[in-house]
Amino acid sequence: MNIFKFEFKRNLKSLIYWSLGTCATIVVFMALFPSMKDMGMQELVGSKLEALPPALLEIFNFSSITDFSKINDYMGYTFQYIAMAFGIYGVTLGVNSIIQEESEGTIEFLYSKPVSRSKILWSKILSIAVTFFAFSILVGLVTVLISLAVKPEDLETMTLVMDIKGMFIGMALLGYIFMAVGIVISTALKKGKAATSIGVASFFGTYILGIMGKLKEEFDFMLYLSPFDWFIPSNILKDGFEMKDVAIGLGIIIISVLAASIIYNKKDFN
Amino acid sequence: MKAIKIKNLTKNYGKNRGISNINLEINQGEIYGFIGPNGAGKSTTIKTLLNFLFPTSGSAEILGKDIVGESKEIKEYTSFVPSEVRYYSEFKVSDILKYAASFFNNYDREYIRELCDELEVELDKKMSELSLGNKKKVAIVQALINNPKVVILDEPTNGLDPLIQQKLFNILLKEKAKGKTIFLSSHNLSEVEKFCDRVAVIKDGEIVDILDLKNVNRNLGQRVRLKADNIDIKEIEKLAEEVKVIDKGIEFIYKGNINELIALLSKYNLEKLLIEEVKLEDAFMHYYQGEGK
Repeated sequence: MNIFKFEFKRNLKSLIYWSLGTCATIVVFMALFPSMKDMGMQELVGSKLEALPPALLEIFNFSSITDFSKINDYMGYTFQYIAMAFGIYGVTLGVNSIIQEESEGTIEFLYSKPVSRSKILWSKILSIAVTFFAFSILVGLVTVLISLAVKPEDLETMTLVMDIKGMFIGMALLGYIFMAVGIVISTALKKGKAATSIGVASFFGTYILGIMGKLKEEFDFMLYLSPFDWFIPSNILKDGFEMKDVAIGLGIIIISVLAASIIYNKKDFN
Repeated sequence: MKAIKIKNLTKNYGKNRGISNINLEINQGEIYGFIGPNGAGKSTTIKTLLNFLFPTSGSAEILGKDIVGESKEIKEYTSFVPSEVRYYSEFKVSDILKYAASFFNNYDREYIRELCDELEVELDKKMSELSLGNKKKVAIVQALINNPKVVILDEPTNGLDPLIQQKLFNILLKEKAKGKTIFLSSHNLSEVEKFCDRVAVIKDGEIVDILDLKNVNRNLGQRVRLKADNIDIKEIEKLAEEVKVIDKGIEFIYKGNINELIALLSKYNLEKLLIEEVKLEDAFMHYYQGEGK
């Protein structure tokens, strides 16, 4: 537990910054919601959206029935950007988990202690997983509070809370998938300089694949390569989870972590 | 049982040369020096011993345990002081020492406190605020936290001022007196000569010499430099080695009876005479100058 605790302390700063940034964005988004109910705004947004080509609407996950005066539709749309933050924070935590210490040389400290490579890796994985869990819970709570403050009176509190819960489970899963991929990248990289960029690029790379999948029907297989598209908040709010996507996601997490373990147990310190 | 036993250890990696067929046996209770030019393979050997790197071939043991398969067990009783101390910069020295201690069940708090006092370690400072030498002191204290049987140090005096260097060696000599084995790499040839029992010389990834420093001074002889009118070089050459004519005089290494040398020199009309013990440092210089032995 000593490595876990130490690592958690090291991650605390990033947890605070990411939580503050994400919560601030959510508060701003949700504070704008009451004005969306305003008829004038509804017409304005509605007419602007109608003017956009359908393909573009699909890229931004709008559907013909998106109605910003409904809190679920509004959240479904705005929270896709929060989902991106979840993916990027997840991959950043993962990709920096091992290589950062190697490139900074601090790993020499751990390597000279009576602890196996496996224990180092698993302690680090546990530490970033818990950090990310804390992030999800914190951001989730803030979302519930701000949403309750702006929700229409006729909407039941419990329904809203359960919807937010579903959306956050999806976003957390998305973050954990990218975290696991980040961990493999982190163990496979020899130099740490470009680690964060590679991690973020892997997120946006798959995101762009997802867009291509949405744009052309013959490319729709690409949606399978884009975890972002498995957990789009508006889809979760409307239809719940696709169990197939959840299963693939969990599979990726398990395979990635096992691969990371195999690579790391044989890795030379450069 | 040997403290460290290295058998045909080879490590190749990338463009760097690595090490090739290293064989070394270090006895328990020895201070063993490891010298060689930059890039010769000192750090690679040490990092392979500590399983920071995996050997390409060959094997090694520390107190009978395999460096790859039993690395975790080895580190229960082996500790390491890196050449360049890169500990967690955002943490205080006291946090680093606490973290180091957390890996061991038992440690002597009193001894650690004594060490911190002796080396004047500033516990409340962050690692990022420390100079190279002060970081090194933290590394030395944390390395002794688990009362190790084997201490491996990579260029330990690098960055330390002479007073702290002296203190470090006093600490190491005390540890040696307790029966501990010390394996250190160094560029500081005089410190190796002064404190080590034996020394291995590594060059281009291979061990080129192993010297027993307890006997080495006798073998190295005296360096004689003289200036005189009537020197008979042939006569000198019969008795001495490395005879060179220099700047209106001659220089040679003499390993025989010093009285016989004086008797010979008394025949000359000497203008200048210098007799000095050949230091190990001079012998080592050959390796650094690329001449080999």
